[in-house]
Amino acid sequence: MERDFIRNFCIIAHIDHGKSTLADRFLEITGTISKEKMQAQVLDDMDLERERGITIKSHPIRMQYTAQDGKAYEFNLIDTPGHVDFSYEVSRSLAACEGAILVVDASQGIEAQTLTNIFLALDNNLAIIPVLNKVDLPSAHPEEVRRQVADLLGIDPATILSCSAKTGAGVAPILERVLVDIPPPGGDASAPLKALIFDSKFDSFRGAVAYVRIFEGTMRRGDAINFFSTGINYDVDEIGFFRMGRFPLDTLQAGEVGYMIANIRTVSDIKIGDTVTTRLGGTQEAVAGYREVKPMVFSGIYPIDKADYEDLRSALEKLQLNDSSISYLPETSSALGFGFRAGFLGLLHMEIVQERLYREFNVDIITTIPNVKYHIRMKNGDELYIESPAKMPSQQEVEFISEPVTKLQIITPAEYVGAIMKLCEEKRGKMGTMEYLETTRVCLHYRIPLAEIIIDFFDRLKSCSRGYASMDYEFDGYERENLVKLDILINGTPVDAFSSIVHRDNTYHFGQEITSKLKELIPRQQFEVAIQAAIGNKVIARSTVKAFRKDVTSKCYGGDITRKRKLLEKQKEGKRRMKQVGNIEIPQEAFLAVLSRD
Amino acid sequence: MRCSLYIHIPFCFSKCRYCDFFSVAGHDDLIDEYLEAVAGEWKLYERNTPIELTTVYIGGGTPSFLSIAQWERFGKMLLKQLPCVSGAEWTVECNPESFSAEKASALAAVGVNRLTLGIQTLDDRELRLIGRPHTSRQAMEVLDNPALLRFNSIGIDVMYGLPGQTIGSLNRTLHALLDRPIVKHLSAYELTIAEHTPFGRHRSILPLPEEDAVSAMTGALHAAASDHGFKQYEVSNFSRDGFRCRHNSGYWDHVPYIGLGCAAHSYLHPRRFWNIGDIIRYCSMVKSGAFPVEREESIDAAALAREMAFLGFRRNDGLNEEAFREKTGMDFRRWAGEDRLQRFIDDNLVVYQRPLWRATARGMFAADYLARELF
Repeated sequence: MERDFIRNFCIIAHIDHGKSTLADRFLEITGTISKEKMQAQVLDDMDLERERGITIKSHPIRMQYTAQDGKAYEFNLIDTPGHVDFSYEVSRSLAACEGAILVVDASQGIEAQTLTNIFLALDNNLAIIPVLNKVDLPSAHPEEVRRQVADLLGIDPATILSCSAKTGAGVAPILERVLVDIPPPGGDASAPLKALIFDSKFDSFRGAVAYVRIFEGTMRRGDAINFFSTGINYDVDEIGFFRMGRFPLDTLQAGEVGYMIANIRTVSDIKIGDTVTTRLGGTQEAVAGYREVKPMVFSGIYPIDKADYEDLRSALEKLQLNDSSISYLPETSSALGFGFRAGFLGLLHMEIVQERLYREFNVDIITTIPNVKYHIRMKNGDELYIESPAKMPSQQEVEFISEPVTKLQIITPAEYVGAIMKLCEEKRGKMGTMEYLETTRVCLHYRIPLAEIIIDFFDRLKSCSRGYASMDYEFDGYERENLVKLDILINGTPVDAFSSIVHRDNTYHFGQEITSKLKELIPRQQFEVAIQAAIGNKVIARSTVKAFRKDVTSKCYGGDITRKRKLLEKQKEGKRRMKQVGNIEIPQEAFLAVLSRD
Repeated sequence: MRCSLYIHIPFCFSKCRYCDFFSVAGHDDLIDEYLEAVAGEWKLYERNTPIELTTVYIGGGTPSFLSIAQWERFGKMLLKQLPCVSGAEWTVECNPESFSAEKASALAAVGVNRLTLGIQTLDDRELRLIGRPHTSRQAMEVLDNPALLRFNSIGIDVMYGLPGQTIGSLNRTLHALLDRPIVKHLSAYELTIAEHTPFGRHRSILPLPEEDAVSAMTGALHAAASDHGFKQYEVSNFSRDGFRCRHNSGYWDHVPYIGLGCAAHSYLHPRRFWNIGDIIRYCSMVKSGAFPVEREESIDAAALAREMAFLGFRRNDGLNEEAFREKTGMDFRRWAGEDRLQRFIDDNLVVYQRPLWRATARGMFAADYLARELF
């Protein structure tokens, strides 16, 4: 296909603003898929994604569009993940495009993520076609939203299209605008090959299926190729494009989007954002913007039943095939036994992975409270990163601790600003600027520790704004903070699994909370049990479990001695499941209550 | 064979809210057939081997719920023919609402020489809450009844840890009862809530005393018993000198016992087995000449060792290491672990006086703990 007849574009939108519904209409109008076959939102083929209304994996789809000029064009629609955790992946998908359709819900208006997406699109130098969706809703206020969008983009409000992706009204003109407003791709089909991997999926028969955008040159079946970042070589088995399935081709040329299969069994060989070229006479220059994806949020994943450990391992392996951004290492917790410490791109990513383990692989798991990766400067000058508070060296040896900080933006109706500011302050946020998008909508900027937003920030933001506020954040480096390791001691013995890293100002409150929680959960024993929260040698909170006064049932059981014996045997079994710390028995539930998320 | 005999009478006027024993209310029409089946079951045993009974215990349910006529018939059918040794202890459980002097005479006439009275508490509100059909006044009238003088021993059953119960009300109950010289034995059980009972289903709304209050009640119980000359001989059992319940002590000494009736347990070493808990099926099985056994287990040395250990630490007599060796073939110290036993001694939970290992007063309060440690 002549490059002039190709358009590569994506749709960017805040969650639930109608991205997938709009994509469905495009597929129908272009005859890519018949209406009957249309499963609602075909692009989101994982149940979980459909349920949550977000797209996690992008699928490029090629459509034949016959324009008003009577000519047939090749439209490549590249779906993008819809959440901040995947902003790097989004940026790579955007890099594969020349333009983006910006969908804004006419009843909701601009949201935090809309902004992030606009900035990403502008960064990637994309042509932006703003579209107001859901204009048919009674709650829509399209004129106001139109003004906001026009202000933001610095364009004439009259050029902004309106549609209802649900009914299809106003959708056809959008495709015509794609043709006009988005430039055809550049590149030279005879130049050395330079292709971008913007996503990949794992096929158990064929290995990794890489989604590629050819910037320069031509990719041919049988090409001996080389990955820039890793230097690894492969031979191309198959190339082609996606419609509702894979359609093999002999070549993919500069400007085109498609897939590549090269019998790649090691998923880590495929890096999103990497450049593919030919081994001989390849390009010298990589596609800009590649970076190694680093997990930001960590959590322990343990099987509830010890016997499920191997199942959990194989489930994680399978998940990683389709999502190379998950990382995990075996971990042993004195409290929870054998499990894994997994790293995720962000909170949503973690939730999705945990949910998939549970649903698709049917493994019952315990997940520990998430934490971030801390940077620690030791008094002896050593530096280290730790991903688990249990691994934290003792407070006396530590010079200082740095933690990851994010740039956070929150968009909210003005009336909730007070409550949100209070929340952010409590979460150690430092306020930046505050802008009015319009008289009643405000955008707040904060610098806030990642550790503070991964626990209950989002839920609290929603509840203090009645669900109206939206947020988005991005990593913004490490910052030295007054953080300390808080240990929990049971009768003087520190219990690793209960350790946490907290800001000094919050230690008292946090220590109180854990010690009183444990007091409820640790059963009375022969002796008094002291539960202490301590920083180094300094105890800051304490609670006591009194010794039991009696541990004997005086029930009448007559000749049924079997029953009484079996009851004691059962209790003994329960005791075996308890963790012995010194001479104190701590039940599993106590660990769960402190370690796991509700 | 010398052994003990238990007979289960699973009929009640009404079912108490905490009760998880096998018993039924409102099936009085089944009583006659049931008593015949019990007599039939006895014949199954008697046919096999000559038996000598050292103790007989008729429990329930509510044995006193049977009418005088039913007792007389049951006497003719079975009770009068039981091969009791001379001086055998023979107990029947009676509840105040179904007690009368005439019934007592009928019992004495078949050979019963010990009664236990299911009084539980003398607080009427507590009685109503737990679903007992009698009043405190009825209970006291029974104790005043001269018919009791015909028996060698009168025991009373008391419960504590009841909804709404206080130390004060427990003390009033205990002192009023133990004051009576005729009362020779006290069984005091803490309320245990079983899941499938009405109490189990409504546990959250019961005004149960706090754990510490129940501990204090236990203390009050010990004090009241000792004030009135009662000695503890098991976690829940107290008696005046010479009035321990020999039947129950037999259970704890692993003497053989035969249980007749629905859901009754038997132990004929090494078998422990229990009957089916269904009156109609029980009757028809006995009629067809089969033992109405639901399940059985074999008490091997390991199980026997555990039982001897947990029962031993519940009793003042303690665990006899010589008897332990004789019955299980194992050395108690090695089985329990010298270190562990030493720890118990150091913690003042257990004392050792060859050949007895006994729980201290503190240890008896931790008898379940000791058992779990040893199991």
